[in-house]
Amino acid sequence: MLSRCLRRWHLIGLLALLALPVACQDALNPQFLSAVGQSQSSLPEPGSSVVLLFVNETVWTAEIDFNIVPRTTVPEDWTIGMWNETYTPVVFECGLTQLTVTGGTVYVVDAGQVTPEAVGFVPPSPLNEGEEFVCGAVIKIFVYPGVDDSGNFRWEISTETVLD
Amino acid sequence: MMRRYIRLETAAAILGVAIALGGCSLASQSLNPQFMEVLGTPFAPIAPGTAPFVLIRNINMTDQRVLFNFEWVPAGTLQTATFGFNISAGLDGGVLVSCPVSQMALGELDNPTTPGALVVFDDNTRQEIPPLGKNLREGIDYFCGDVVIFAAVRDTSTVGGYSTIYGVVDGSSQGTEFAGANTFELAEREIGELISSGIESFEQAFATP
Repeated sequence: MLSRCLRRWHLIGLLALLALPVACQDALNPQFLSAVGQSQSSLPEPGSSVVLLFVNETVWTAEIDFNIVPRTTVPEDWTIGMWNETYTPVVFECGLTQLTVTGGTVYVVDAGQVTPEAVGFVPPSPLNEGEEFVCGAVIKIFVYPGVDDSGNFRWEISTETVLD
Repeated sequence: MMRRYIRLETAAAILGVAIALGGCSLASQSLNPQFMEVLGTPFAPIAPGTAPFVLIRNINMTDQRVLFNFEWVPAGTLQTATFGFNISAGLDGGVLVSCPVSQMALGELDNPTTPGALVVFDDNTRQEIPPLGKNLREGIDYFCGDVVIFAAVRDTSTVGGYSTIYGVVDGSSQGTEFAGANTFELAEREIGELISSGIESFEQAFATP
C-alpha cells in the first residue's frame, strides 16, 4: 500500500514537472497577448527603456543628429526630425552604453526660401550609461535659439537627464 | 545505483509538486531569471502602465537594415499620424503616443495590405516584407498603457525570407513599484511641463484643422 502510494506520488510529481513548461508558458511571458505570423516565442523578452525626449523650441522645423552605442551591436547614427515647437518622445530599450549629440539643423524659412542653418553649439561630451544616465531614465534633448560668448546668435542643443 | 535513481526520482517528484503548488515562481527563477525581475520589484517599467501612453516599438530581428513605417490615429483627432524608423540589424526603436489611440497599423491604416517594412540590403536594394494585413484596435488588440511591438524577422516559410509579426505587452500586469526610475511617469511629468510651456506633441502636427 505504501509502495503504491509512493509510486503514485512520484508519478504525480513527475507529471507536474513534465507539465511545467506548458503550465508556466503564460507565466513566463504574460505580457505577450498576441502574435501574428510566427510563434509567440519569436518575440524577444520585453525590457525596460530609456526615453529620449526631443524638444524643438524653435519656430522652425529642425533635426537633431545623434549617435548611440548599443551594448550588443555597432554604434549607429540617427537623425530625428521635428516640427516647430513640438516634442517627440523616442524610446530605446535599455542597453545603450553611450549617447552623443553630434549636431543639428534648423530649417529657417525666409520669404518662402528654406535655409538650413547648422546648430552652432552641441554638448561637447557624450552621455555615458552609469554616469550621465541609467536604464529607465528620461533624457531631454533641446534645440533652441541662443547666443555665443560674444553675444552672437546661434542655434544650440542641450541635454538634461531626469531620473526622479 | 538504483537507490540513487530513486532518490533523484523522489527529488524530481518533490520539485514538481512544489513548483506546481508554488504557482510556477520557482520555475520562473530557474528558467527565466529576467522574469523574476517582473515578479519581484523590477528596476524600471517595461510598458507605460498607468502613464497615459501607448509605446509603439519596432524591433529589427533580421540580419539586414529594415525601414519600418506605421500609422495611428492620434488622441482627439480623426487624422492619421505616421512615423517610421530606419533600424539596423538587432536594434529597436519606439515612440510614445498619447492615449487614446483608437487604432494603429504597421503600414497604412487605410490599406492594411500595404507593406509597413522594407529590408534594405548592403547594396541598397530593397525588398518589401509581407504586411500584417490588419489594423490593431484599442480595446480589442491593445489598451492604453500597453506596448505594441512590430518586429521584422527572418522567415524561411515566406518567398522573400522575411515576415513581420506583432506582439502586445500588457501594461496593466507589470505593477506600479520599481526599484529605479519610473520611466513613463517621468516622461508624463516632463511632457506635462512642456505642454504647459507651449510645446505641443509631435502628434498634433498631424491634426491639421
